[in-house]
Amino acid sequence: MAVQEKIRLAYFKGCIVDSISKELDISTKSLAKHLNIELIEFKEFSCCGSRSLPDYDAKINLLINARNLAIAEERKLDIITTCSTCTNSLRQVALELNNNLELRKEANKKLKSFGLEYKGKVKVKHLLDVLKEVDFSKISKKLVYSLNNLKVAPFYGCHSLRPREISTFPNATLLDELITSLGGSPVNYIGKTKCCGFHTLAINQSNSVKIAGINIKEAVDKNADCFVVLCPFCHIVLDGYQGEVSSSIKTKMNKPVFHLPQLLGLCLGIKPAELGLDLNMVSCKKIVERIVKK
Amino acid sequence: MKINFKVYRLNKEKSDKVRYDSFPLDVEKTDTILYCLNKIRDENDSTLTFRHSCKSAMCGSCSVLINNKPMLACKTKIHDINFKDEILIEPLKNYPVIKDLVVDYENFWKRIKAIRPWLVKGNKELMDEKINDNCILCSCCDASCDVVPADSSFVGPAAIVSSYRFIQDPRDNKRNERLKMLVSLGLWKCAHAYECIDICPKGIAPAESITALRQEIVGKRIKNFDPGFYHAKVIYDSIWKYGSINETYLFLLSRRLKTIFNLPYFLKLKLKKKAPPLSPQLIKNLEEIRWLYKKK
Repeated sequence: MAVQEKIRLAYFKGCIVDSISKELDISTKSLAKHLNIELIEFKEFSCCGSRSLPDYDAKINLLINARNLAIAEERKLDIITTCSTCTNSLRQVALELNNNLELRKEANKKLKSFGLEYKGKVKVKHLLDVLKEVDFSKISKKLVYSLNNLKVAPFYGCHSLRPREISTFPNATLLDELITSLGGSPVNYIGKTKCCGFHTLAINQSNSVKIAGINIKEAVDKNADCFVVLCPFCHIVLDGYQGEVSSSIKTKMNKPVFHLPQLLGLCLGIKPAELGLDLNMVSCKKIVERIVKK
Repeated sequence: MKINFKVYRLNKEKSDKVRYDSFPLDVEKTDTILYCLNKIRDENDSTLTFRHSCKSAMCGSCSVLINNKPMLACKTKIHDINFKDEILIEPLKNYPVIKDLVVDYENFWKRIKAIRPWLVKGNKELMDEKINDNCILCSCCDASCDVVPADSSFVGPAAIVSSYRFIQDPRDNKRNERLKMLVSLGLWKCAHAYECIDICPKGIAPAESITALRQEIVGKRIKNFDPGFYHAKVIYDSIWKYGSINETYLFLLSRRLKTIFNLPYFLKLKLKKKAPPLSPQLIKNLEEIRWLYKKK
Protein backbone atom coordinates (compact mmCIF):
# COMPACT_ATOMS: atom_id res chain seq x y z
CA MET A 1 0.00 0.00 0.00
CA ALA A 2 1.32 3.45 -0.92
CA VAL A 3 2.51 5.74 1.86
CA GLN A 4 0.53 8.68 0.47
CA GLU A 5 -1.24 10.01 -2.59
CA LYS A 6 0.89 10.27 -5.71
CA ILE A 7 3.36 13.15 -5.74
CA ARG A 8 4.49 14.34 -9.18
CA LEU A 9 7.83 16.09 -9.46
CA ALA A 10 10.23 17.20 -12.19
CA TYR A 11 13.32 15.04 -11.71
CA PHE A 12 16.46 17.14 -12.08
CA LYS A 13 18.96 14.31 -12.39
CA GLY A 14 22.20 16.23 -12.69
CA CYS A 15 25.06 15.28 -14.97
CA ILE A 16 26.70 12.34 -13.27
CA VAL A 17 23.86 10.01 -12.42
CA ASP A 18 23.91 8.50 -15.91
CA SER A 19 27.47 7.27 -15.40
CA ILE A 20 29.69 7.75 -12.32
CA SER A 21 26.78 7.79 -9.85
CA LYS A 22 24.45 5.47 -11.73
CA GLU A 23 23.48 3.75 -8.48
CA LEU A 24 21.96 7.00 -7.18
CA ASP A 25 19.61 7.18 -10.16
CA ILE A 26 18.70 3.48 -9.83
CA SER A 27 17.99 3.73 -6.11
CA THR A 28 16.10 7.03 -6.41
CA LYS A 29 13.76 5.54 -9.02
CA SER A 30 13.17 2.39 -6.94
CA LEU A 31 12.47 4.43 -3.82
CA ALA A 32 10.17 6.83 -5.68
CA LYS A 33 8.14 3.93 -7.06
CA HIS A 34 7.86 2.46 -3.57
CA LEU A 35 6.72 5.79 -2.07
CA ASN A 36 4.27 6.61 -4.88
CA ILE A 37 6.35 9.53 -6.19
CA GLU A 38 6.27 10.04 -9.94
CA LEU A 39 9.58 11.34 -11.25
CA ILE A 40 9.09 13.14 -14.53
CA GLU A 41 12.28 13.39 -16.55
CA PHE A 42 13.02 16.28 -18.87
CA LYS A 43 15.67 15.70 -21.48
CA GLU A 44 15.74 19.50 -21.93
CA PHE A 45 17.31 20.16 -18.51
CA SER A 46 20.88 21.39 -18.81
CA CYS A 47 23.72 21.08 -16.31
CA CYS A 48 23.34 23.44 -13.32
CA GLY A 49 26.91 24.74 -13.69
CA SER A 50 28.11 22.86 -10.62
CA ARG A 51 28.77 26.12 -8.70
CA SER A 52 31.91 26.62 -10.80
CA LEU A 53 30.19 28.18 -13.80
CA PRO A 54 29.54 31.50 -11.95
CA ASP A 55 33.32 31.84 -11.60
CA TYR A 56 33.61 31.87 -15.37
CA ASP A 57 30.37 33.47 -16.49
CA ALA A 58 27.75 34.46 -13.91
CA LYS A 59 25.27 35.62 -16.55
CA ILE A 60 25.24 32.27 -18.36
CA ASN A 61 24.87 30.53 -15.02
CA LEU A 62 21.82 32.67 -14.30
CA LEU A 63 20.23 32.17 -17.72
CA ILE A 64 20.66 28.41 -18.04
CA ASN A 65 19.27 27.86 -14.55
CA ALA A 66 16.41 30.30 -15.14
CA ARG A 67 15.65 28.14 -18.17
CA ASN A 68 15.78 24.96 -16.05
CA LEU A 69 13.43 26.48 -13.48
CA ALA A 70 11.05 27.71 -16.20
CA ILE A 71 10.89 24.28 -17.88
CA ALA A 72 9.53 22.72 -14.66
CA GLU A 73 7.32 25.71 -13.93
CA GLU A 74 5.70 25.52 -17.35
CA ARG A 75 4.49 22.02 -16.46
CA LYS A 76 3.38 23.24 -13.01
CA LEU A 77 5.81 20.90 -11.29
CA ASP A 78 8.22 21.43 -8.42
CA ILE A 79 11.75 20.17 -8.95
CA ILE A 80 13.26 17.24 -7.05
CA THR A 81 17.03 16.79 -6.97
CA THR A 82 19.26 14.17 -5.41
CA CYS A 83 22.35 16.36 -5.62
CA SER A 84 23.11 19.12 -3.13
CA THR A 85 25.11 21.09 -5.69
CA CYS A 86 22.24 21.08 -8.21
CA THR A 87 19.87 22.09 -5.39
CA ASN A 88 22.20 24.92 -4.43
CA SER A 89 22.73 26.20 -7.98
CA LEU A 90 19.02 26.23 -8.81
CA ARG A 91 18.04 27.81 -5.49
CA GLN A 92 20.72 30.52 -5.71
CA VAL A 93 19.44 31.55 -9.13
CA ALA A 94 15.79 31.38 -8.01
CA LEU A 95 16.68 33.61 -5.05
CA GLU A 96 18.43 36.13 -7.32
CA LEU A 97 15.51 36.21 -9.73
CA ASN A 98 12.96 36.49 -6.92
CA ASN A 99 14.83 39.32 -5.21
CA ASN A 100 15.61 41.29 -8.33
CA LEU A 101 12.58 41.73 -10.56
CA GLU A 102 14.54 43.75 -13.15
CA LEU A 103 16.94 40.85 -13.52
CA ARG A 104 14.01 38.45 -13.84
CA LYS A 105 12.44 40.64 -16.52
CA GLU A 106 15.69 40.68 -18.46
CA ALA A 107 16.10 36.89 -18.19
CA ASN A 108 12.47 36.32 -19.20
CA LYS A 109 12.93 38.46 -22.32
CA LYS A 110 15.47 35.89 -23.48
CA LEU A 111 13.52 32.84 -22.31
CA LYS A 112 10.48 34.14 -24.21
CA SER A 113 12.30 33.32 -27.45
CA PHE A 114 11.60 29.66 -26.78
CA GLY A 115 8.24 30.12 -25.12
CA LEU A 116 9.42 29.96 -21.52
CA GLU A 117 8.90 32.26 -18.55
CA TYR A 118 10.11 32.10 -14.96
CA LYS A 119 7.37 33.35 -12.62
CA GLY A 120 8.95 32.42 -9.30
CA LYS A 121 6.49 29.67 -8.41
CA VAL A 122 8.59 26.53 -8.78
CA LYS A 123 10.16 25.11 -5.62
CA VAL A 124 13.46 23.27 -5.65
CA LYS A 125 13.36 20.30 -3.29
CA HIS A 126 16.07 17.90 -2.31
CA LEU A 127 14.97 14.29 -1.93
CA LEU A 128 15.33 14.72 1.85
CA ASP A 129 12.84 17.63 1.76
CA VAL A 130 10.36 15.45 -0.14
CA LEU A 131 10.77 12.63 2.39
CA LYS A 132 10.10 15.13 5.17
CA GLU A 133 6.91 16.19 3.37
CA VAL A 134 5.88 12.55 3.00
CA ASP A 135 6.50 12.42 6.78
CA PHE A 136 9.23 10.38 8.46
CA SER A 137 6.74 8.87 10.89
CA LYS A 138 4.56 7.59 8.02
CA ILE A 139 7.64 6.15 6.33
CA SER A 140 8.81 4.46 9.51
CA LYS A 141 5.46 2.65 9.78
CA LYS A 142 6.24 0.96 6.44
CA LEU A 143 9.69 -0.29 7.44
CA VAL A 144 10.47 -3.93 6.71
CA TYR A 145 13.89 -3.76 8.38
CA SER A 146 15.18 -1.50 11.12
CA LEU A 147 18.71 -0.14 11.26
CA ASN A 148 18.62 -1.53 14.79
CA ASN A 149 21.07 0.85 16.38
CA LEU A 150 23.52 0.68 13.51
CA LYS A 151 25.92 3.61 13.95
CA VAL A 152 25.27 5.71 10.85
CA ALA A 153 27.35 8.83 10.26
CA PRO A 154 25.30 11.43 8.38
CA PHE A 155 27.33 13.59 5.99
CA TYR A 156 25.31 16.65 4.99
CA GLY A 157 27.99 18.32 2.87
CA CYS A 158 28.10 22.03 2.13
CA HIS A 159 25.62 22.75 -0.58
CA SER A 160 22.52 21.50 1.18
CA LEU A 161 23.29 23.70 4.19
CA ARG A 162 24.88 26.90 2.96
CA PRO A 163 24.32 29.74 2.36
CA ARG A 164 21.83 29.50 5.20
CA GLU A 165 19.19 31.62 3.47
CA ILE A 166 18.61 29.00 0.77
CA SER A 167 18.80 25.91 2.95
CA THR A 168 15.69 24.07 4.10
CA PHE A 169 17.56 22.35 6.93
CA PRO A 170 20.39 24.74 7.88
CA ASN A 171 20.73 23.34 11.40
CA ALA A 172 21.71 19.94 10.02
CA THR A 173 19.35 17.83 12.07
CA LEU A 174 16.97 16.47 9.40
CA LEU A 175 19.13 13.57 8.22
CA ASP A 176 19.86 12.65 11.84
CA GLU A 177 16.10 12.59 12.44
CA LEU A 178 15.58 10.27 9.48
CA ILE A 179 18.33 7.90 10.65
CA THR A 180 16.69 7.80 14.09
CA SER A 181 13.27 7.13 12.57
CA LEU A 182 14.81 4.16 10.72
CA GLY A 183 16.02 2.76 14.04
CA GLY A 184 19.63 3.78 13.56
CA SER A 185 21.93 5.66 15.85
CA PRO A 186 23.24 8.84 14.16
CA VAL A 187 26.90 9.51 14.89
CA ASN A 188 27.40 13.07 16.06
CA TYR A 189 30.61 14.64 14.74
CA ILE A 190 31.66 18.16 13.84
CA GLY A 191 32.64 17.35 10.25
CA LYS A 192 29.13 16.26 9.26
CA THR A 193 28.32 19.81 8.14
CA LYS A 194 31.70 20.44 6.52
CA CYS A 195 33.12 20.00 3.04
CA CYS A 196 33.76 16.66 1.28
CA GLY A 197 36.46 18.24 -0.89
CA PHE A 198 34.85 17.21 -4.17
CA HIS A 199 34.81 20.66 -5.71
CA THR A 200 38.57 20.73 -5.70
CA LEU A 201 39.05 17.09 -6.77
CA ALA A 202 39.62 17.91 -10.45
CA ILE A 203 41.88 20.80 -9.42
CA ASN A 204 43.98 19.52 -6.53
CA GLN A 205 43.35 15.92 -5.52
CA SER A 206 45.69 16.09 -2.56
CA ASN A 207 43.69 18.97 -0.98
CA SER A 208 40.44 17.23 -1.76
CA VAL A 209 41.22 13.97 0.04
CA LYS A 210 42.85 15.83 2.94
CA ILE A 211 39.72 17.96 3.43
CA ALA A 212 37.53 14.85 3.40
CA GLY A 213 39.88 13.05 5.80
CA ILE A 214 39.97 15.90 8.32
CA ASN A 215 36.18 16.16 8.28
CA ILE A 216 35.24 12.49 8.64
CA LYS A 217 38.00 11.32 10.98
CA GLU A 218 35.97 11.95 14.11
CA ALA A 219 33.16 9.73 12.79
CA VAL A 220 35.66 6.99 11.97
CA ASP A 221 37.20 7.32 15.45
CA LYS A 222 33.71 7.02 16.93
CA ASN A 223 33.40 3.67 15.14
CA ALA A 224 30.67 4.62 12.71
CA ASP A 225 29.46 1.50 10.88
CA CYS A 226 28.75 3.41 7.68
CA PHE A 227 28.11 6.85 6.18
CA VAL A 228 25.03 8.20 4.44
CA VAL A 229 25.32 11.16 2.07
CA LEU A 230 22.93 13.60 0.40
CA CYS A 231 25.00 14.32 -2.68
CA PRO A 232 26.67 12.19 -5.37
CA PHE A 233 29.76 14.44 -5.23
CA CYS A 234 30.26 13.69 -1.52
CA HIS A 235 29.77 10.03 -2.43
CA ILE A 236 32.51 10.13 -5.07
CA VAL A 237 35.09 11.32 -2.54
CA LEU A 238 33.99 9.29 0.49
CA ASP A 239 33.31 6.06 -1.45
CA GLY A 240 35.37 6.24 -4.66
CA TYR A 241 38.45 7.86 -3.11
CA GLN A 242 38.16 6.20 0.29
CA GLY A 243 41.60 4.59 -0.05
CA GLU A 244 43.23 7.98 -0.59
CA VAL A 245 41.13 9.61 2.16
CA SER A 246 42.12 6.77 4.48
CA SER A 247 45.83 7.31 3.76
CA SER A 248 45.50 11.06 4.35
CA ILE A 249 44.32 10.46 7.92
CA LYS A 250 46.50 7.38 8.39
CA THR A 251 43.46 5.42 9.54
CA LYS A 252 42.05 2.23 8.05
CA MET A 253 38.47 2.84 7.08
CA ASN A 254 36.59 0.34 4.93
CA LYS A 255 33.31 2.12 5.69
CA PRO A 256 30.39 1.65 3.29
CA VAL A 257 28.96 4.94 2.05
CA PHE A 258 25.27 4.87 1.18
CA HIS A 259 23.33 7.31 -0.94
CA LEU A 260 20.22 8.41 0.99
CA PRO A 261 17.75 6.40 -1.19
CA GLN A 262 19.94 3.29 -0.88
CA LEU A 263 19.83 3.24 2.93
CA LEU A 264 16.15 4.11 3.15
CA GLY A 265 15.30 1.69 0.33
CA LEU A 266 16.96 -1.18 2.18
CA CYS A 267 14.88 -0.48 5.30
CA LEU A 268 11.72 -0.40 3.19
CA GLY A 269 12.52 -3.86 1.91
CA ILE A 270 13.64 -2.92 -1.60
CA LYS A 271 16.05 -5.52 -2.97
CA PRO A 272 19.77 -4.52 -2.92
CA ALA A 273 20.00 -5.09 -6.70
CA GLU A 274 17.24 -2.52 -7.24
CA LEU A 275 19.26 -0.03 -5.21
CA GLY A 276 22.44 -0.40 -7.25
CA LEU A 277 24.40 -1.37 -4.16
CA ASP A 278 26.78 -3.52 -6.21
CA LEU A 279 27.93 -0.35 -7.94
CA ASN A 280 29.28 1.25 -4.75
CA MET A 281 33.08 1.07 -4.56
CA VAL A 282 33.30 0.07 -0.89
CA SER A 283 31.35 -3.14 -0.39
CA CYS A 284 28.09 -2.68 1.50
CA LYS A 285 27.57 -6.43 1.83
CA LYS A 286 28.23 -6.79 5.57
CA ILE A 287 26.04 -3.84 6.49
CA VAL A 288 23.27 -5.05 4.17
CA GLU A 289 23.44 -8.46 5.85
CA ARG A 290 23.22 -6.83 9.28
CA ILE A 291 20.16 -4.81 8.24
CA VAL A 292 18.36 -7.55 6.34
CA LYS A 293 19.00 -10.27 8.93
CA LYS A 294 17.65 -8.22 11.81
CA MET B 1 18.56 31.53 33.56
CA LYS B 2 21.31 29.08 34.54
CA ILE B 3 23.61 27.90 31.74
CA ASN B 4 26.65 25.68 31.90
CA PHE B 5 29.67 26.97 30.03
CA LYS B 6 32.14 24.29 29.01
CA VAL B 7 35.45 26.01 28.36
CA TYR B 8 38.62 24.71 26.69
CA ARG B 9 41.65 25.04 28.93
CA LEU B 10 45.33 24.65 28.11
CA ASN B 11 48.31 25.95 30.03
CA LYS B 12 51.46 24.58 28.41
CA GLU B 13 53.59 25.91 31.27
CA LYS B 14 51.92 23.32 33.48
CA SER B 15 50.84 20.53 31.11
CA ASP B 16 50.31 19.77 27.43
CA LYS B 17 47.00 18.14 28.26
CA VAL B 18 43.81 19.90 27.17
CA ARG B 19 40.96 19.90 29.67
CA TYR B 20 37.44 21.29 29.65
CA ASP B 21 36.18 23.19 32.70
CA SER B 22 32.50 23.67 33.45
CA PHE B 23 31.19 26.96 34.77
CA PRO B 24 27.47 27.16 35.59
CA LEU B 25 26.46 30.82 35.34
CA ASP B 26 23.33 32.83 36.02
CA VAL B 27 22.87 34.85 32.85
CA GLU B 28 20.30 36.73 30.81
CA LYS B 29 19.43 35.77 27.22
CA THR B 30 20.70 39.16 26.08
CA ASP B 31 24.15 38.77 27.70
CA THR B 32 27.06 38.47 25.30
CA ILE B 33 29.52 35.60 25.40
CA LEU B 34 32.25 38.12 26.19
CA TYR B 35 30.26 39.26 29.22
CA CYS B 36 30.00 35.61 30.31
CA LEU B 37 33.74 35.00 29.82
CA ASN B 38 34.53 38.10 31.89
CA LYS B 39 32.11 36.90 34.55
CA ILE B 40 33.85 33.50 34.67
CA ARG B 41 37.24 35.19 34.97
CA ASP B 42 36.06 37.71 37.59
CA GLU B 43 34.01 35.35 39.71
CA ASN B 44 35.26 31.80 39.11
CA ASP B 45 38.75 31.52 37.67
CA SER B 46 41.06 34.48 37.29
CA THR B 47 43.51 32.41 35.19
CA LEU B 48 41.11 32.05 32.24
CA THR B 49 42.86 33.71 29.29
CA PHE B 50 41.16 35.24 26.25
CA ARG B 51 41.62 38.22 23.95
CA HIS B 52 39.22 41.14 23.78
CA SER B 53 39.29 44.86 23.38
CA CYS B 54 36.60 47.06 21.79
CA LYS B 55 33.43 45.18 22.88
CA SER B 56 31.67 46.50 19.78
CA ALA B 57 32.58 44.15 16.89
CA MET B 58 35.17 46.55 15.52
CA CYS B 59 38.59 45.24 16.60
CA GLY B 60 38.13 41.56 15.72
CA SER B 61 40.19 40.32 18.66
CA CYS B 62 37.64 38.25 20.62
CA SER B 63 36.96 35.54 17.97
CA VAL B 64 36.40 32.13 19.57
CA LEU B 65 34.60 28.92 18.69
CA ILE B 66 31.11 28.95 20.17
CA ASN B 67 29.49 25.52 19.85
CA ASN B 68 31.96 24.76 17.04
CA LYS B 69 31.32 27.97 15.09
CA PRO B 70 33.82 30.82 14.85
CA MET B 71 32.12 33.94 16.23
CA LEU B 72 32.92 37.25 17.91
CA ALA B 73 32.38 36.83 21.66
CA CYS B 74 31.42 40.51 22.01
CA LYS B 75 28.75 40.40 19.30
CA THR B 76 27.21 37.01 20.07
CA LYS B 77 24.40 36.97 22.60
CA ILE B 78 23.07 33.90 24.38
CA HIS B 79 19.86 34.03 22.32
CA ASP B 80 21.91 33.91 19.09
CA ILE B 81 23.18 30.43 19.92
CA ASN B 82 21.55 27.12 19.18
CA PHE B 83 22.21 24.97 22.23
CA LYS B 84 20.64 22.23 24.29
CA ASP B 85 22.31 21.87 27.66
CA GLU B 86 25.49 23.86 27.58
CA ILE B 87 27.57 26.31 25.59
CA LEU B 88 30.96 25.11 24.44
CA ILE B 89 33.70 27.73 24.14
CA GLU B 90 36.96 26.79 22.43
CA PRO B 91 39.86 28.55 20.72
CA LEU B 92 39.63 29.10 16.94
CA LYS B 93 40.47 26.12 14.76
CA ASN B 94 43.30 26.16 12.21
CA TYR B 95 45.68 27.96 14.61
CA PRO B 96 48.05 26.69 17.32
CA VAL B 97 46.81 27.45 20.84
CA ILE B 98 49.01 29.61 23.08
CA LYS B 99 46.87 29.45 26.21
CA ASP B 100 43.19 28.70 26.84
CA LEU B 101 41.25 30.67 24.20
CA VAL B 102 44.25 32.60 22.87
CA VAL B 103 45.66 31.37 19.55
CA ASP B 104 48.86 32.18 17.68
CA TYR B 105 47.95 34.34 14.65
CA GLU B 106 51.43 34.30 13.10
CA ASN B 107 50.32 32.36 9.99
CA PHE B 108 47.24 34.51 9.62
CA TRP B 109 49.28 37.73 9.57
CA LYS B 110 51.76 36.14 7.14
CA ARG B 111 48.86 35.48 4.76
CA ILE B 112 47.52 39.02 5.17
CA LYS B 113 50.98 40.53 4.55
CA ALA B 114 51.39 38.39 1.42
CA ILE B 115 48.67 40.36 -0.40
CA ARG B 116 50.42 43.72 0.37
CA PRO B 117 47.55 45.27 2.32
CA TRP B 118 48.23 48.91 1.52
CA LEU B 119 47.15 51.30 -1.21
CA VAL B 120 49.61 51.88 -4.05
CA LYS B 121 48.54 55.34 -5.16
CA GLY B 122 48.03 56.01 -8.85
CA ASN B 123 46.57 59.04 -10.65
CA LYS B 124 42.88 58.25 -10.23
CA GLU B 125 40.73 59.57 -7.42
CA LEU B 126 37.89 57.90 -5.53
CA MET B 127 34.57 58.94 -7.06
CA ASP B 128 31.39 57.19 -5.96
CA GLU B 129 32.70 53.62 -6.15
CA LYS B 130 31.38 51.31 -3.48
CA ILE B 131 34.27 49.65 -1.70
CA ASN B 132 33.55 46.96 0.83
CA ASP B 133 36.08 47.71 3.55
CA ASN B 134 34.11 46.28 6.44
CA CYS B 135 36.55 43.44 7.16
CA ILE B 136 37.91 43.69 10.72
CA LEU B 137 40.43 40.83 10.27
CA CYS B 138 38.78 38.77 12.99
CA SER B 139 39.90 35.62 11.11
CA CYS B 140 36.58 33.81 11.67
CA CYS B 141 36.48 33.00 7.93
CA ASP B 142 39.98 31.49 7.92
CA ALA B 143 39.08 29.48 11.02
CA SER B 144 36.01 28.04 9.29
CA CYS B 145 37.72 27.39 5.94
CA ASP B 146 38.25 23.76 4.92
CA VAL B 147 41.13 24.48 2.56
CA VAL B 148 43.28 26.43 5.08
CA PRO B 149 44.12 23.37 7.25
CA ALA B 150 44.61 21.16 4.16
CA ASP B 151 46.92 23.45 2.19
CA SER B 152 49.40 25.81 3.83
CA SER B 153 50.03 27.55 0.49
CA PHE B 154 46.42 28.76 0.29
CA VAL B 155 46.23 32.44 1.20
CA GLY B 156 42.81 32.06 2.85
CA PRO B 157 39.54 34.00 2.57
CA ALA B 158 40.48 36.91 4.87
CA ALA B 159 43.55 37.86 2.80
CA ILE B 160 41.54 37.51 -0.42
CA VAL B 161 38.87 39.86 0.96
CA SER B 162 41.62 42.31 2.00
CA SER B 163 43.10 42.22 -1.49
CA TYR B 164 39.67 42.66 -3.08
CA ARG B 165 39.29 45.87 -1.08
CA PHE B 166 42.27 47.37 -2.99
CA ILE B 167 41.27 45.83 -6.32
CA GLN B 168 37.92 47.65 -6.03
CA ASP B 169 39.66 50.94 -5.24
CA PRO B 170 40.31 53.06 -8.38
CA ARG B 171 43.12 54.92 -6.58
CA ASP B 172 45.23 51.75 -6.49
CA ASN B 173 47.44 51.34 -9.54
CA LYS B 174 48.44 47.72 -8.92
CA ARG B 175 45.06 46.19 -9.50
CA ASN B 176 46.02 43.78 -12.30
CA GLU B 177 49.19 42.81 -10.46
CA ARG B 178 47.09 42.05 -7.41
CA LEU B 179 44.85 39.74 -9.47
CA LYS B 180 47.89 37.87 -10.80
CA MET B 181 49.32 37.68 -7.30
CA LEU B 182 46.07 36.20 -5.96
CA VAL B 183 46.19 33.46 -8.59
CA SER B 184 49.68 32.49 -7.41
CA LEU B 185 48.47 32.61 -3.78
CA GLY B 186 45.70 30.08 -4.46
CA LEU B 187 42.59 32.06 -5.45
CA TRP B 188 41.32 29.07 -7.46
CA LYS B 189 41.81 26.66 -4.53
CA CYS B 190 38.63 27.70 -2.72
CA ALA B 191 36.35 24.63 -2.55
CA HIS B 192 32.99 26.46 -2.57
CA ALA B 193 32.04 25.26 0.91
CA TYR B 194 30.44 28.65 1.72
CA GLU B 195 31.11 28.45 5.47
CA CYS B 196 32.75 31.87 5.32
CA ILE B 197 29.48 33.35 4.03
CA ASP B 198 27.51 32.09 7.00
CA ILE B 199 29.97 32.94 9.75
CA CYS B 200 31.33 36.36 8.76
CA PRO B 201 30.23 38.65 11.63
CA LYS B 202 30.36 41.67 9.32
CA GLY B 203 28.23 40.09 6.56
CA ILE B 204 30.99 40.34 3.96
CA ALA B 205 30.52 36.89 2.34
CA PRO B 206 34.17 36.18 1.39
CA ALA B 207 33.18 33.37 -1.02
CA GLU B 208 31.28 35.96 -3.07
CA SER B 209 34.42 38.13 -3.20
CA ILE B 210 36.32 35.06 -4.41
CA THR B 211 33.76 34.49 -7.18
CA ALA B 212 33.88 38.20 -8.15
CA LEU B 213 37.69 38.10 -8.35
CA ARG B 214 37.67 34.96 -10.47
CA GLN B 215 35.18 36.66 -12.79
CA GLU B 216 37.51 39.66 -13.07
CA ILE B 217 40.40 37.40 -14.01
CA VAL B 218 38.28 35.77 -16.71
CA GLY B 219 36.84 39.11 -17.87
CA LYS B 220 40.20 40.84 -18.08
CA ARG B 221 41.68 37.79 -19.81
CA ILE B 222 44.51 37.71 -17.30
CA LYS B 223 46.70 34.84 -18.36
CA ASN B 224 46.86 32.07 -15.83
CA PHE B 225 47.50 28.37 -16.02
CA ASP B 226 45.75 27.39 -12.84
CA PRO B 227 43.81 24.09 -12.93
CA GLY B 228 40.95 25.89 -11.17
CA PHE B 229 40.66 28.32 -14.05
CA TYR B 230 40.65 25.47 -16.59
CA HIS B 231 38.10 23.62 -14.47
CA ALA B 232 35.63 26.53 -14.69
CA LYS B 233 36.38 27.00 -18.39
CA VAL B 234 35.81 23.30 -19.19
CA ILE B 235 32.43 23.44 -17.45
CA TYR B 236 31.52 26.56 -19.47
CA ASP B 237 32.64 24.97 -22.76
CA SER B 238 31.11 21.59 -21.98
CA ILE B 239 27.66 23.05 -21.31
CA TRP B 240 27.82 24.89 -24.63
CA LYS B 241 28.87 21.73 -26.44
CA TYR B 242 26.65 19.10 -24.76
CA GLY B 243 24.34 20.94 -22.36
CA SER B 244 25.95 18.85 -19.63
CA ILE B 245 29.39 18.19 -18.17
CA ASN B 246 31.81 15.76 -19.74
CA GLU B 247 33.57 14.40 -16.62
CA THR B 248 36.42 12.78 -18.53
CA TYR B 249 37.41 16.06 -20.18
CA LEU B 250 36.81 17.88 -16.92
CA PHE B 251 39.64 15.92 -15.29
CA LEU B 252 41.87 15.73 -18.39
CA LEU B 253 41.71 19.42 -19.21
CA SER B 254 41.74 20.72 -15.63
CA ARG B 255 44.53 18.60 -14.22
CA ARG B 256 46.34 17.87 -17.49
CA LEU B 257 49.26 15.52 -16.75
CA LYS B 258 48.23 15.17 -13.11
CA THR B 259 45.11 13.28 -14.31
CA ILE B 260 47.40 10.27 -14.01
CA PHE B 261 46.67 10.37 -10.25
CA ASN B 262 42.96 9.97 -11.00
CA LEU B 263 43.53 6.91 -13.18
CA PRO B 264 42.98 4.32 -10.41
CA TYR B 265 39.54 5.84 -9.82
CA PHE B 266 38.65 5.83 -13.53
CA LEU B 267 39.82 2.21 -13.74
CA LYS B 268 37.53 1.30 -10.86
CA LEU B 269 34.69 3.06 -12.67
CA LYS B 270 35.45 1.08 -15.80
CA LEU B 271 35.34 -2.20 -13.83
CA LYS B 272 31.97 -1.20 -12.37
CA LYS B 273 30.78 -0.31 -15.88
CA LYS B 274 29.98 3.25 -14.91
CA ALA B 275 32.83 5.18 -16.49
CA PRO B 276 31.66 8.42 -18.10
CA PRO B 277 31.36 8.27 -21.89
CA LEU B 278 33.89 10.26 -23.92
CA SER B 279 31.06 12.05 -25.60
CA PRO B 280 27.95 12.57 -23.45
CA GLN B 281 24.49 12.55 -24.91
CA LEU B 282 23.33 16.00 -26.02
CA ILE B 283 20.43 17.48 -24.11
CA LYS B 284 17.16 18.10 -25.94
CA ASN B 285 16.85 21.62 -27.41
CA LEU B 286 20.58 22.29 -26.99
CA GLU B 287 20.19 25.12 -29.49
CA GLU B 288 18.39 27.08 -26.75
CA ILE B 289 21.49 26.92 -24.54
CA ARG B 290 23.71 27.99 -27.44
CA TRP B 291 21.35 30.85 -28.22
CA LEU B 292 21.59 32.03 -24.60
CA TYR B 293 25.40 31.89 -24.83
CA LYS B 294 25.30 34.07 -27.94
CA LYS B 295 22.66 36.56 -26.79
CA LYS B 296 23.60 36.94 -23.13
